[in-house]
Amino acid sequence: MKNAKVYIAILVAVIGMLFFWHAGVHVLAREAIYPFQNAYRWVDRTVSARVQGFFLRARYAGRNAMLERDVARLRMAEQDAEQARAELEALRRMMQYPLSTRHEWVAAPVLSHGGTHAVWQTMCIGQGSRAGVTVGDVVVTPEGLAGRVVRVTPHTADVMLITDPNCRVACEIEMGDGQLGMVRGISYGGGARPTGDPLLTLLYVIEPLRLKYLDRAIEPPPRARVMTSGLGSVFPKGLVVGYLLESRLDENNLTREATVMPAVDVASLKDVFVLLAHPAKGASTRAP
Amino acid sequence: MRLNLHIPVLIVLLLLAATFQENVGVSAWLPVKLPLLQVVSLYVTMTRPVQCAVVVAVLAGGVADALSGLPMLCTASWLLTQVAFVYMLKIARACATVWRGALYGGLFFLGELFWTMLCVQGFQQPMSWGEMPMYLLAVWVTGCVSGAMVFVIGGKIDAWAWLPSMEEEDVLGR
Repeated sequence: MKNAKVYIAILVAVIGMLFFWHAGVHVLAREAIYPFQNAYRWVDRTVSARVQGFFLRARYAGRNAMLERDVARLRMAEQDAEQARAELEALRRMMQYPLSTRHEWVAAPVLSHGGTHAVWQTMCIGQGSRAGVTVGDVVVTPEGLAGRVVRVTPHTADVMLITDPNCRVACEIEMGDGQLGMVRGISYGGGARPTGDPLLTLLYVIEPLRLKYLDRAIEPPPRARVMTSGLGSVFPKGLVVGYLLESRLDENNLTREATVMPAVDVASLKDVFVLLAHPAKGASTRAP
Repeated sequence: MRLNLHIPVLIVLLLLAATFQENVGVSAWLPVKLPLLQVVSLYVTMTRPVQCAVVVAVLAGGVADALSGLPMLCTASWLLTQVAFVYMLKIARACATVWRGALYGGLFFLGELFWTMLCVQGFQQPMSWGEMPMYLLAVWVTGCVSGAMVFVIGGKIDAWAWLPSMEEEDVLGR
């Protein structure tokens, strides 16, 4: 009888929370499993890396030497880029152009993909409002655009990937002959779908992006780079979205639409960078 | 005096299930997430009194919906239906064996997936009829594997926590 009263009290509390504090339930659930997810990630990275290192020591030594050379080369390139950037800013000032904005970013590990049901194309990252991440911040990788933040808790954030059917990105196609900006369109996420491949080789595939509302008169070349156009001010200009696969006229023959392979392999992401709109102390700076 | 470890055991089970369900991602070989929260609810329904089963169903459903961005009470309503099915089919007091857990886990997971698709995209057909058998088979196998896993681990945790089964509690007259 005493137990029954306890369970009824818990049930009433849970139902009350679900109805009247729905956003809080998300924060509570995320924060409750965050330590376990962090531990899982630590085990995955630390323990498995050490086990692999034990067996692949010679290969890792070679790889380490190669990475050290790359780091030195990138340091040199960064110095050149800083110099070029300073010159560009000076020229912009002389021409009275608006100065380019510098984004501050924070690195974040990817904790999980797709939530508990994988209905939406989302991922959970291990940085939240305590690191300055806010809803709407853009998430990128060195390869290109990954998505944007849709929900935030103190230690984590949910990111809607560009492959989600609800994600729209204003894009332009790099034509390769100085016509960048001539062909603009909106990228729609293709989502993912289960397939019934009889060979059981692929049960789940991520569809390519669909680029709509392109100028019908210009046929972009295959493998052309698709970048963010900066229109709408949601995503900054110049981030790589993907590479064009093919284009054709739409069913009404009014505009052209294309399929685009995402530049980022969203399914295998392990680390990402969040471009902060409201940076906290300790964030790094980066020019897009 | 014995401590009542029912609630701590349930909390541990739910946290572990939520963490693993989140972290094990979908891939070319695994088209759906492991339904661990749903199977934990099934395990509790088959091994605990009805009031406890209802609480866990609402809690597991609420956590699953909150973590995956589904409409409020989508999963919780299915898990409550699952509790009702288990009691209607009179399998609640049957021994919670691994084989039964695997069998019912697979079957109820098919129902949960159908219900989730209905909540998210209505009656829109998600795939062609030709693609469906292989997908449903993969879903059923995933549910069975999850069912077996949770019933094994749940049984072990119950044994470590020295919790009596429902039959033992009946004998003890609680």
